[in-house]
Amino acid sequence: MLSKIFTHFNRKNLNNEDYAFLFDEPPVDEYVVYDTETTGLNPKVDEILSIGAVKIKGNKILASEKFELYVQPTKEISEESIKIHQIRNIDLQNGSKPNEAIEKFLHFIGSSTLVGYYLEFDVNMINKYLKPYLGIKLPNKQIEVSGIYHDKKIKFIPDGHIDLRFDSIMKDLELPIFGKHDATNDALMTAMMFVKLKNISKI
Amino acid sequence: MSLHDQEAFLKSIHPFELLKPRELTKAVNSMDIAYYKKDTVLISPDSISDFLYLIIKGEVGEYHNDELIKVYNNSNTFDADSLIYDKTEYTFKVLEELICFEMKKEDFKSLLESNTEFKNFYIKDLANRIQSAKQKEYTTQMSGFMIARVSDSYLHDPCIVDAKRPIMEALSEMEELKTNCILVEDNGTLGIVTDSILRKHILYNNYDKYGPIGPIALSPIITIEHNDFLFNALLSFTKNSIKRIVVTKDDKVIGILEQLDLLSYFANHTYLVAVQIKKATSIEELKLASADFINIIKKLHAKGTKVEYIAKLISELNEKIYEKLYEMIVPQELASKACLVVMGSEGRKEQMLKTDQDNALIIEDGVDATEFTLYMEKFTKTLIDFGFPPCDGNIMVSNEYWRKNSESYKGEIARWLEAPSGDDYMHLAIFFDAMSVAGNHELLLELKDMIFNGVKDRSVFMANFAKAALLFETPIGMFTNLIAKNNHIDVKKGGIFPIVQGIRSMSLENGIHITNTNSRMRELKKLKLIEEGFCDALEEAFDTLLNLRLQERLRYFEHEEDPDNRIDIKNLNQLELDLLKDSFKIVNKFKDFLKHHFKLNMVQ
Repeated sequence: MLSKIFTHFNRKNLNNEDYAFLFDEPPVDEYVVYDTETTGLNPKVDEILSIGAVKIKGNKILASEKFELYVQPTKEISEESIKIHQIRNIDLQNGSKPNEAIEKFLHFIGSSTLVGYYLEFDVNMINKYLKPYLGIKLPNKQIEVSGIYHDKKIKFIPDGHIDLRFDSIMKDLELPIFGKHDATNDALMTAMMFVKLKNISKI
Repeated sequence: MSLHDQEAFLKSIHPFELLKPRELTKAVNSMDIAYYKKDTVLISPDSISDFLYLIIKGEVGEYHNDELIKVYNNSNTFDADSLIYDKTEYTFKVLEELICFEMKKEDFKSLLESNTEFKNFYIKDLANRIQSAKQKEYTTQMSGFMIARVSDSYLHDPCIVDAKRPIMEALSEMEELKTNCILVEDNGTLGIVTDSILRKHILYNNYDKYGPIGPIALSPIITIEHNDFLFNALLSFTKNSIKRIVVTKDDKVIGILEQLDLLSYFANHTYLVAVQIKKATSIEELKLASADFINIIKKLHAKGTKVEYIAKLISELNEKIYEKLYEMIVPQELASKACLVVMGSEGRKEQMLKTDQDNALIIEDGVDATEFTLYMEKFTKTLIDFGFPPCDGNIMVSNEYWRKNSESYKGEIARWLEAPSGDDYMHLAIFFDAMSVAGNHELLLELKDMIFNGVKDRSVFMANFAKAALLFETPIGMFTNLIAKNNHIDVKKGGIFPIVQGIRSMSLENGIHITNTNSRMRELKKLKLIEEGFCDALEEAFDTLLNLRLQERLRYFEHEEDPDNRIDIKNLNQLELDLLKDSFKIVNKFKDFLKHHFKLNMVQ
């Protein structure tokens, strides 16, 4: 009920009707998994460096239509963060301007339900750009993969400690790790987690 | 970015490593990832998929009429056949939950179009599978290796010059074509000039290098048809000790196949062994060369080579050993006055692992047979030392009975034919398979002719000879269940011997000189004595039985146990069990055929 009210106000704030499609009914059994690489972990000060996203239709991960984008930051990337995500300043020379990136991203996700691992952070990062630009926050439904994992797991080990680290979940679900962690790879792997979790009742 | 990782993954899947970088990128970009639960049917005859599946994780089973025939797991791809042919007889079902890449049919097909090597993998594989589906043969063990044709290998352009052409001119023409030999045409016949011939004539014999090339050319040349199996080219290299062979298409020269190029096809050292045998100057060296056979057999077997061809190759090498040993042991003046023959399975070129010796010596009339006694005793002893176990029936040159003058053989053969008793049918059968390996070959031919003439219009004799094929029950029951004793089945009694004996009888009856069972079958097929389709099935059954026996024997060998003819059916997988059943069914059909052909019901 509350979310309906939120959606209502959010819709009212939209300042560009070209993006009304974001508020359409989400397509059935279609999802978008996305992940961002950022300069740090604080949405207030940090910036997005790249976005990776992939669609899921039923049990298929549409890797052939994946979304992969670099974003030009407003300031130089610190040495510290380069070491973590291995995106250098030079890698972003041909990247998109932030608003451009947001536009492309919104067109890719449409009104689909969003799926992610610690999705809240990635949503906040997008909202940081979206709010001042279009006046709204991401209106899409959201599904937290580690949440589904936790719920399925807790059934069998009530009161137990559940390891929710990304690689631990991958390992527990016996999924193959695809190379290094970057936005697209993580989105792909998260998509696999989601599809598998969708199909199994117990872990 | 991640494209990289997916490319790396794809590249690790054969045959995708054959793709060029551009094609690989395209492939990666066109693939989706799918998840399927256990028991999902991905492909079936009624519903063919539009995707090529590449397994990231999980297991898929291929079924034919509800029978599991193959399992695919990590990094396997399926099913190219149904994509190429738009139909399939097989069903693919998920055995263990599956994560896989899916490549769309159009994208897969465009890769086939753009990359020949990639295409060859699937097309060759397909050809193999069509062949194997026919007889439900080994799908997995077969490789492109056996079906490679001469034209598949790299062929050098032929340099053909007229016999009157000055040598120096011919040489520069050869160099221009970047080839290593010159073919010389002289009134329609071809000769060959190689480096070694040039060296011999120009450097040693001072032949005029500006003179015509014709007189120094060597002819006739050894050729092979372009669509013949590469394997036969290898046999020819070994047999003739040559380094290159002229490739023809409808009798016209189209190129030269060099030994080096051919060898790159074969990752074993068959040829090297042949050279070792040839170069051996002492019995010790010869022994060393023969010790390596088991490795060759293992490698060829692992590659899925038909047993028939492995056996032929090994026989070829064995023959060389016999020949060389004969040369080393028997003094020159005596050597040409006798003919050394190998008999039984060795004579038929069907012996592989050194089982037992079956050999004999035919001595020219007028020569004292006792002159050979010491040499032949040494011959047998040396072979035993080489690892050829002595024959249980003492059918060896060290035995006087198998070492005598032509005249004495004739007397025995006459007796075998006129008043056979006891072992005589067997002796005739063994001797009929004789093949000469050293000395004067004519001596054997003469005796064989005598045998052929002796059985003409002797239907009762032929029936008695042939009925040995029915001696043992085929180990298969009414409901095509295998009849095994403690899980063991004797495939020699059960199938190999009946086929060999039946085919031998028909060859004897029809004057067929060749000794190899497969070659005899082909000859009988050509003469329309056995219907073509049935003969093909019989050949496949024969190959299957030999193959299963070889597999079992190699296993014995690994455990250093003595090999026999029994197969432990616990060691067989479902496909192999089916193959075995099918083979025995065919053997039963063949027995019926023999009963009818030789009117075996008339003799008891």
